[in-house]
Amino acid sequence: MKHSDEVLVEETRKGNKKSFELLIIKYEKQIFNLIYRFTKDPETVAELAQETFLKAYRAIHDFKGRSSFYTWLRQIAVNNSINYLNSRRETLSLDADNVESQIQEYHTGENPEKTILSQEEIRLVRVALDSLPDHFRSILVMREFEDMSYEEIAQILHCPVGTVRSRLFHARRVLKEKLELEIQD
Amino acid sequence: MGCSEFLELVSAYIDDELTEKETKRLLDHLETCESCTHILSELTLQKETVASLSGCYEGPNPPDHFATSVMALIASESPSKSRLNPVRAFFSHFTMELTTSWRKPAFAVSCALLIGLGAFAGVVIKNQTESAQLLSVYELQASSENQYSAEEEDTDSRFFDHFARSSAETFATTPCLLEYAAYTCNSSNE
Repeated sequence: MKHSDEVLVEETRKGNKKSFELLIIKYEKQIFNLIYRFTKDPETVAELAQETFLKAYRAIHDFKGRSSFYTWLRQIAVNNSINYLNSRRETLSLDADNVESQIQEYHTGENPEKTILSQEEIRLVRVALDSLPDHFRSILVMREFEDMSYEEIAQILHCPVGTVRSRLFHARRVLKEKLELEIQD
Repeated sequence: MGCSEFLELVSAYIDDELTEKETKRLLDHLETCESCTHILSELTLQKETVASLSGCYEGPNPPDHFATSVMALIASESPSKSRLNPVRAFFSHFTMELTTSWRKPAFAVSCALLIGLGAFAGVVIKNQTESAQLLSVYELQASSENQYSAEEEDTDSRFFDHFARSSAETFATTPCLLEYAAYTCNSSNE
């Protein structure tokens, strides 16, 4: 029995546009979250998400089904986000109010795992994470938030797996240093 | 192998991305190294902390009818872009890449550089052509002077006919050579 995504992809290939619309509806929220984690810029999320789905539609005949449709779509979204970061080449200042409101939302969630950390701890980690250079932050987002394997990250960054391993280690080390600085302040 | 070389393995270990051989080597080291064991514990905690924050990075909600608006864009495009032949697909993709808002400045700079490079190449080629033509006139004149001394005056008329014919084509394409020709004529008359 075929997975429902496979059926929808197959139907899209045959020219059934409604099938692709169903795929968008299914994954739009995940793609919005993913892009936001990379860019930290809510203004650009919708534009990049739209570009992601357009690219996916145009390339639907190139999707070989070796991975799930979402894994493939996610790669397109990550590439778009990284291209955007590379073109922007500037560090956005941290929007303190936005951070505070999101920490509040985080604490009102029902997931018990989410209430382990204190508000102050969350703020410190988030400030340290957001202050990382884009190339370190991106690789941590891919690994920790998106749970991508080293192989997948290497494919997206067009580099050997060894480079991914090394860059992740350096990203973690820099994050640790920044956290220590935040705690001292 | 010093501790510093194991730290990268520690990071990969907490991601479960080590080979069996690497895992064994790291565990052997950790048995005797308290410092690396402490770092392993710190990085594990840090990883869990960061991962648990993913809910804190909720992006904005997709606007109502986001899917409908994307489908409208798809419908407004030329019929089935995804089925374009590879060459057209490439140019279509290229155009889209360049017209994306944040890439426009880079595209403009690239165009300016290309135009500048083209103009520079044009000037260089033009100068080289003129130099080559000047040189050919000079060489022709030099060889003609040698002939003059060998065959005396009865070859004079044949030399000037030949010189005039050979130079005419060059003068026709390069007006600036007229000045040089006038100068050489005056010199030979003197």
